[in-house]
Amino acid sequence: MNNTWLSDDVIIPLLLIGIILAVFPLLVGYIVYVERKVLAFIQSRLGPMRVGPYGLLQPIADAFKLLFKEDITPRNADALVFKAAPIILLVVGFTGLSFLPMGEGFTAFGYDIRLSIVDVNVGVLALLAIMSLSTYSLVLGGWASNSKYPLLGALRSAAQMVSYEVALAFTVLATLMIAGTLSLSGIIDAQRDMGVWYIFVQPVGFVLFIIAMVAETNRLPFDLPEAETELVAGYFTEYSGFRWSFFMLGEYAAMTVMSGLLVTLYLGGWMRPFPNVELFSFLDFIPGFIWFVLKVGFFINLFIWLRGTFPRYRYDQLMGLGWKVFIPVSIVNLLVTGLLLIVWDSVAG
Amino acid sequence: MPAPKKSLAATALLTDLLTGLWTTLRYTFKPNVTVRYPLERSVLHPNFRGILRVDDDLCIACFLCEKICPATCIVLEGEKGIGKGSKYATFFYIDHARCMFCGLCEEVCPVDSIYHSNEFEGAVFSRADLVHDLAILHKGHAIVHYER
Repeated sequence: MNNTWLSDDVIIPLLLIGIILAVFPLLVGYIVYVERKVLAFIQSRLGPMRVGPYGLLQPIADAFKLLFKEDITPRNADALVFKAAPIILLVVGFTGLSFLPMGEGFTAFGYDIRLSIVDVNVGVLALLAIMSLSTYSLVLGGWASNSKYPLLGALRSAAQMVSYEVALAFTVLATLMIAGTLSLSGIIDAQRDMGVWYIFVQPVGFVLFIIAMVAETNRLPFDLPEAETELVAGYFTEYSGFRWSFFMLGEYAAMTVMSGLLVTLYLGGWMRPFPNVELFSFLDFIPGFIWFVLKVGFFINLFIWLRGTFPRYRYDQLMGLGWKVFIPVSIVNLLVTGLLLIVWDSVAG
Repeated sequence: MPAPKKSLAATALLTDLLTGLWTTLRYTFKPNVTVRYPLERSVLHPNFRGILRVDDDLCIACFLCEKICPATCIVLEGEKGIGKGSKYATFFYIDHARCMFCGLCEEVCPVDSIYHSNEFEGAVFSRADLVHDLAILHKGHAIVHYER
């Protein structure tokens, strides 16, 4: 075909974008459903049961309810910023999704289809940079509401994001040193070449990444920007209807993106377990996309599980943990990794 | 009381957090305790103090229940019948809006005439309907059960 750039760079990505835009909001609805169910089971309750069998139609009923809600802008709010803030969060979340390699490429109708919308050679850097933009949404939304609780939530989110982003970046850096590439698909290939997932090479980094990821996405036990028992609903107290649901969508998109990044960095992305061991080759019949979904699903479940288990940190404990524990440990992890790499290289080469 | 000292290894391996996660994981797979009330109802204890009923064949109109009621929700009147010990209640009102279901009337009744039933669905549209007269007290009030 003579104009492959058109199909490779325009049509297929646009199709994938369309699929994600169409499917992901529904998926978020069902993540919320699973969250309510799992939290209920943890507390020996049933969770939603009334709408449809086992409450399976509850997310759809909720979505319809949100559609009919009034879109309120507080009188003294900065209307433009107030309306823009949830859109920033949503755009950031969806943009993050486009970086993740979700499965091995395949050929359909004579076209090569890659299951990542963009595969840039600085994927990790770009992804982290874009995810950091979500802080703007929270800060702007909280400030523009011209109300006290949202402002407090916004300030908390700014401080929290900054302190945990540093630890997250140092943690990721150690992985990048081993992989020798910033490309997300390159990292998966590096894990295949090495024969093990990086969770076995970077166990400390893995745990650090999980905790920093929870803090980064403002989920319990680090949900201080929302903190419904202290700050009503934190930065989105004044939002209603669809703009409120934009915040929810953005939060769950961020959860999915961070889980996807974790899976890519430490658990071999869409590869089956033990990618080089012949013994497990019977697992090959499961396509990579399914492996990816299973792994990401596990970590989204972990978010819910953590929420059902731990109480919220106090604010000074959160900052103390970030600056006094996570940043030093991640730096030490980075140094030790670098040292071991040098030793390994001099021994091997 | 100072917090118990933890070893550095226990802190580094996040043992406390893992213990917590293990607890919630076990509870996730335990049977739940929710009773989906209108669709299913739990079995009540026989001593459950529900809506008051009066067996007026037994009542001797001794006024003990009226006297002991802390909420003064019982009003009755009696008259003598033919023969010894044949006093009976002519009217008997219990205001369930005032009743606190303490069970004192049931305890004090010498002939076990007034008793708490196992019935708890007493919702009505008017407060006046909560005052039960002798006819309702005898045969029980009309209960509307939930139906799909």
